[in-house]
Amino acid sequence: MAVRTPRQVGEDVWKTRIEKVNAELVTLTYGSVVAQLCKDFRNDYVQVNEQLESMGYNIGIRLIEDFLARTNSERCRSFKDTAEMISKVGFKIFLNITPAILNWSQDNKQFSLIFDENPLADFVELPDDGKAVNELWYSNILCGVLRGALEMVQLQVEAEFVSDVLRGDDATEMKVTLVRVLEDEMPVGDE
Amino acid sequence: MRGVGTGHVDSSLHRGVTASAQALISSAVDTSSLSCYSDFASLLITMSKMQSSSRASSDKLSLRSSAPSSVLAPRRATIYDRNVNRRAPDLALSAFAFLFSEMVQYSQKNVKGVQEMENKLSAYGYHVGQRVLELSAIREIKNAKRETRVLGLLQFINTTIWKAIFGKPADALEKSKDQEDEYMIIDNDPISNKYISVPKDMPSLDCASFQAGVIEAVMDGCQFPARVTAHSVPTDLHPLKTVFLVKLDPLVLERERYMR
Amino acid sequence: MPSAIRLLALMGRENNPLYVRSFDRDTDSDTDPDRFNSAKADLRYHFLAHIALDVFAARLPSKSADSDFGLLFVQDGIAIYGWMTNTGVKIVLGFSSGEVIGSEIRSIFRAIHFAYISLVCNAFYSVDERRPITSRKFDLSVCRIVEAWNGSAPAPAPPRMSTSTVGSARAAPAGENVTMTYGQSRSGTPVA
Repeated sequence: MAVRTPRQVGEDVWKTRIEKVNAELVTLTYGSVVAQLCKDFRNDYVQVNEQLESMGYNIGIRLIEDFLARTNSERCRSFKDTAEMISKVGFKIFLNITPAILNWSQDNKQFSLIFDENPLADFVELPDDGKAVNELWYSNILCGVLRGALEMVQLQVEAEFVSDVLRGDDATEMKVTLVRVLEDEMPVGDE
Repeated sequence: MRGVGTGHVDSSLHRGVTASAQALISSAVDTSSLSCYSDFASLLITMSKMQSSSRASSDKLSLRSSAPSSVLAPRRATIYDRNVNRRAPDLALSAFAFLFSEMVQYSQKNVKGVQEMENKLSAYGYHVGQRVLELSAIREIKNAKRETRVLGLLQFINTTIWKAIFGKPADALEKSKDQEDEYMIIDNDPISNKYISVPKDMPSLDCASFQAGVIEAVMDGCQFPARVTAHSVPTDLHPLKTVFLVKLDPLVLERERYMR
Repeated sequence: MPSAIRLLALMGRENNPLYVRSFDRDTDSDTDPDRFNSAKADLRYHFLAHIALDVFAARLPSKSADSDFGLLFVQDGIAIYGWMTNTGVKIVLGFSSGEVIGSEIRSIFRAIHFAYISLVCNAFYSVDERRPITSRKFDLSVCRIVEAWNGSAPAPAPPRMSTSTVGSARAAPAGENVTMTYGQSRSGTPVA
């Protein structure tokens, strides 16, 4: 039997094994959380970013179980495979999107996820206080999710947004960098 | 009737559902055909051809380069903006469950008790409910109307709103036998309690306060102020069964009597 | 000659002005050296928007439950039409004299209503504060709608992502926006 691509796996799992909910519920609930954080931290957006990231981390470390159980996926052989799994399976089965993977670094330890669509950010227009557009990463929870989930499969990564259409940028881009592999037996890189 | 200064409560006192008497003035305007436009992008394109499009297919209208077919309005350019009505794709229920659970965790910080905690969850729900109500005007474009009676509004919440956000109507709508100002919306399996384990130090916390906030926002938004609370009433068949108690503001009752 | 939109106003459910904007070419402050005239025109439009509120209030008791209030009145050659959303927000459009067709008017009301919905759904917009709308995105959206109706500008090419309009919105000049704040002359009872 032919090996199935991550895209096929993602599509398949999404169609057959995922209980769905209206995207608006998630979008609006996330919005209410971010708006509340901005209030609680008195528009200190740096702190809001951190809080979102740590909430995401908490989600990530639990979400990975769900992910592995639903996809029966095996360990990724390389960080490139990992990137594919994140985009085509991970984002697909939770948020029904598949961000593009671009900008690989020479050493294959860093790539970018480009979000053509971002259900979390629907309807959003950042506060017009001259600060938010420079400081707030509205969807920062996603960075935490990646960090948490990957840590559970022995990959320590840094994930951060470097641009966001909400800020007026042309694209929404998250950079993911592999810091180190937490276990020896896992080869990294393209051989 | 007072004029411009009429507050919302007063003005809605006078709301009627009888056939409109405005025909005289607006007879110059064609009000005969309410076409089922539900699409932002093609709104300004003439509509005659689209009359027949069903709700389901109209969701995709924006993707067509619908050429103006009528002679009525050839001058209209297509306006593009976010097509609010594009039926948002579904997401994984677990995405909501994870998010909701973090929201509960976060809200737990610095709260003094269950009541304060439930108020916080209700506030999140209120924020969501306000927006869901606005969005419903698009989804229900054919039947969109201002609810003028309390029962109609509760039914609207029970079916339309619940379906829009939770994918199924609520399980029952009941009127209190003893209290004239109380109604109950019942959900046998509320999403907020299904996948979320209550924090250990708050065993009595009811996360369905979130939905209570949603209901309250819709009631307020339609100018039927009410206080809504969530109460767990487990049964053998439905261990998560939750009753949302809607207690109407006295003004609402007064208005209902007036309209009767 | 079809009629052009001269005025767009949104009034909150406590009759608080949310957005009042004139689309008068001839008295535009950019082109008209006589600034006094344009200021007078703006004032006139605020005035018309407020008369409209009276008509809304007067019709409400016998009005059917749909949003379309049709023609409210005609004053100074401006035909004022009204629309009320399910949350009690009133949208007022003023047309210069000319031929208008009901279904077309409804479609433009819906477009503006949708722009409003999009605004409200923003997590950072507060419905409760009843402040005038300052969103550039909303401003841009409704201006596009009106300009296209008035036939004065071709519609811009659709950007691929809706959210990217925020970026272009920032670049848009905010010059002729006449949104004004009123004193809190009417205090509605906030419902909580």
